[in-house]
Amino acid sequence: MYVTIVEDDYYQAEMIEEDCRKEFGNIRFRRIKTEHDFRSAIDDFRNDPPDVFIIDVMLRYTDPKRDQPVPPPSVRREGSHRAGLRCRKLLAEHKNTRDIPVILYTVLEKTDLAKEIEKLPAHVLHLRKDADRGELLDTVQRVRRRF
Amino acid sequence: MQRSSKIPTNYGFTLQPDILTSGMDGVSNFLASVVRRTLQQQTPEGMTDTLAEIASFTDSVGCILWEASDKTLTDGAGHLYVLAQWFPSNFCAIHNLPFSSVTGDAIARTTAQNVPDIDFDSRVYKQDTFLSEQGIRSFCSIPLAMPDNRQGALNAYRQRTGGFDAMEISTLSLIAPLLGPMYSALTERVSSNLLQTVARSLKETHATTDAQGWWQRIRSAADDICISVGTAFNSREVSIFLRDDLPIVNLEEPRPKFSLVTSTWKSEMKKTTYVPDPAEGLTGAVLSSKRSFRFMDLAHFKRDEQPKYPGLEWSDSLDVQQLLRQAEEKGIRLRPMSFMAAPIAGSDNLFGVIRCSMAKTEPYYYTDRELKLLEVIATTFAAFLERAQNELVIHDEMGAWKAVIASVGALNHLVYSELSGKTPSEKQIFEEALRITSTVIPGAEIMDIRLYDEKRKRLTFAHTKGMSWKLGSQAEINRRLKKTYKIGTGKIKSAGEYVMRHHEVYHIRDVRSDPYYSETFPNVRQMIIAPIIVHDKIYGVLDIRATSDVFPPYANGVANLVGRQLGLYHYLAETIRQLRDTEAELRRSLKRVHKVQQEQAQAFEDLAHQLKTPGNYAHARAQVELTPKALADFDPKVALRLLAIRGNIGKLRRVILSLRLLIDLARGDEPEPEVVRITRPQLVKMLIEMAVDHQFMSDPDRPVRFQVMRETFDLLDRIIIEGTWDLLEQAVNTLLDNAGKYSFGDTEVRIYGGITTAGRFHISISSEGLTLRGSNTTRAKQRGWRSEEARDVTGEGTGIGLWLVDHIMRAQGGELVVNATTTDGRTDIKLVFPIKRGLADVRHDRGR
Repeated sequence: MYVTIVEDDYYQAEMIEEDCRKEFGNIRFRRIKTEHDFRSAIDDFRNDPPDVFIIDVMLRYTDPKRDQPVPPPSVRREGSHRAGLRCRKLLAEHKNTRDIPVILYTVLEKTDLAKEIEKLPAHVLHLRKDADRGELLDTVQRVRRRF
Repeated sequence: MQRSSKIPTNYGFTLQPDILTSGMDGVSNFLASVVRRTLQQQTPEGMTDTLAEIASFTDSVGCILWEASDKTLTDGAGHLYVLAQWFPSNFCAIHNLPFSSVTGDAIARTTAQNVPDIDFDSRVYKQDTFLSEQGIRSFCSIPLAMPDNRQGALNAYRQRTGGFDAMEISTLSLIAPLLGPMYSALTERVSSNLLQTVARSLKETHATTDAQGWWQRIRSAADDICISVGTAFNSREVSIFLRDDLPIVNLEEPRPKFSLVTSTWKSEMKKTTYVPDPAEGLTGAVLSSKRSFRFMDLAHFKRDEQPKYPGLEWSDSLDVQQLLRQAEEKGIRLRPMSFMAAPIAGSDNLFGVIRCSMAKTEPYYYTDRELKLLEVIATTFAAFLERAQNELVIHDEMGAWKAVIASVGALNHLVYSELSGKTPSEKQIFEEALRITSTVIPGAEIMDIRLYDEKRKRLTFAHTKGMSWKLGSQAEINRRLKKTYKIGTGKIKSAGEYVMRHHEVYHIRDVRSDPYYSETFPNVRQMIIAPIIVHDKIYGVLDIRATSDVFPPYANGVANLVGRQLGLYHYLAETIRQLRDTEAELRRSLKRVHKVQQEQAQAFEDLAHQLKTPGNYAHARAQVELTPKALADFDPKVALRLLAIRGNIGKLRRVILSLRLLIDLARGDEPEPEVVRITRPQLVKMLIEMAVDHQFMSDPDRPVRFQVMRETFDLLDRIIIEGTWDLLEQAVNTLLDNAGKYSFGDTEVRIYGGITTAGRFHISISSEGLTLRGSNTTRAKQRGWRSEEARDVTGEGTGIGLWLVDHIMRAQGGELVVNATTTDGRTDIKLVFPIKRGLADVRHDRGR
């Protein structure tokens, strides 16, 4: 199984990866830290699609860098609070990635994202971040079988 | 000058003029003298002198110049009238002669007629006693041509029988053809003089614009015209009648009155006022038909004049026929009563009539020449009146507009006073607007303001002015004021509804014939209804009525302006009322919000209080238990995670502290510091712990080192600074948070102390990361501000960090100083404290 996690917190990403490896054995795992990194890797995903994406919703666009990339005007306008949803939209734009299961793994409640969630297809799921990552692992297992 | 080169006679031969004139120097000289003398005359009666000379030259006792009346040559029914005559004994010898006479014969045959003895010529008209009165025994009559293709004759009379011989007749026949052109030249000069005199008189009549002066000016011009015309025509009476209501405002006035303004008639006039009605005599007929009339002799009205004007009836109000009878009985020859009148009419207006009657001397009869001249004078006078009327109207209008502008200025002041009051009232504004209207528009007696009630879809009375509103019993007054006017979408039923739907002024010039008028008051003549409107929003109507007068032309414009001003005021009043209501509602809402805020603040305070204890406990425990030393035996990966947890616990505590600060600031309370001395060991320890926490919290992919430069704080042993530990911790942690977030990977954050150039102590955080421009150093301290680059690198954050630190530092008597990024890429942010006491002071205290 090939899992991609889009998470800007190093320790959270590390622990999710560890849990997944423990649960699912020898799997491919790719970490993406920022929205910019995701956009840069989109061709990789289209050429070599993962089995499942775990995407945080609130993401920074980039890390501070001396040659810091400038985001598109839409990103500047909308801000970082729905960056994960923009990443999901990019996946939906290509036939190779549009049907890949996506778990929106976030501290935001369902009610916070009510408007956005109701428009999402069935293979995009909302899951609230919890100290107990059992539910995340169950969901990964479920969507992997289902889709 | 001669009509024929040969002169026919009734003697059976024809005289040759060239034969007659050759060698007749006396005749030539006489002719030259006559022509010269005649051309020097200034009035028609000047011809009398010419005839006197002819009589003298031809040895005659008298001469008469006759002219045939209009009808004479067409059917022979007319008569001959005297243009000029000269007799030494009796100036007024005869006035007219029937066409069936010797003179008529001469004209009809165009042949000179000689009567050697009046007793033996049956053609001689003997009904008139003139021949016997003058003792005339013989005469001759020479036909001649008068101006305008009219015929005439020169008669010479003698008191002896024998008449005139061929030579004498030839001489008279040479003279006669000159009389027509001479008379024409004379009348043309008279006409020209008259026109020039009238034009000059009107030009010299100075313009005045007050109503009384205006009328004096008109009277003065009319006086001049009457006198000039009377002189030119020798008329006993020249009168001018003008409309009573000049300047004319109401063009539709059905029966205007025309009164005598001036007359040359010295006696009392029987009738001095006329209306345009044929039954009102000849003057009334002129006014009614707006055309001129000329009558040769009123004594023969029915015989000679009525046939010329079919349908014209004259009731002989002057009793001419009776006068005629009385004169005949007394053997008095009544002078001909010639009459002519012309309307004084402009392009649209009939101003009046000018009439002339009864010449003092010959010619007694007015001909078409005089009538045309009178018409020209009447038209000239009408043009003058029109101009004068326009000047007055323009002057009045300008005066009215000036008054309106001045009044509107005062009204605006009143409106300002009224509307700036606590409860804006429009009553005074309406009252003042109606007062201005009544002052500026003459005739505005009854007025009201009606406003539209949108719920009822009706116009209702908001304010009234004028005595008429107060007439009648209280019940009648109430009933009148309670009347409403429906504003629908179907057929328009009232003038107010018309204005409400068309948004334009409606002027009822005659209420009797207007389909939208309904009577509220009797005797109303005119009415103006103007919209009370702003842009396309209409609020109601302004109603102005006149009973005794009609409105001037500018009344519509004034009403329109007042209506629009009222619209603006009403809009302002409504808006202010709405704003006041909104303000009151906002106050109530704010109270509610404030109450909710208080409750929320209390809830947050409780929450912060509840979090404070476990937060402090967790932080203290983490500081003690989760140290690098204590975790030395752990798997390095696990140890790092535990240290990151320690850092997050520290962050949790800071959030709890920030929450408390936010609550205070939201309430308007600045943080209350518990001031103590900040000592070096305690400060350095705190800074190191914070540095460790932040370093362990930093992203291992983008490691940032936090370095406390301990030695820079040694000077704290020599000076005293004061602050609050909690607040200081909060401030430093916030700066370290920012430094961690915005620093590039593999860089160092330096924490150091020192003295500023202004002699204050500072704790500084220096980092190498995102650029902070000089233009943003002030904004950086504002709540919610973050640079675009900063927003790109933080998925969280509210931009309140530096704002809070700024408050914290000011609460401690210090300052937050944000410096722009230097050229070597480092950004320095300082917490600056005043130095309470220097080293010398401290030593001095210890010594005591």
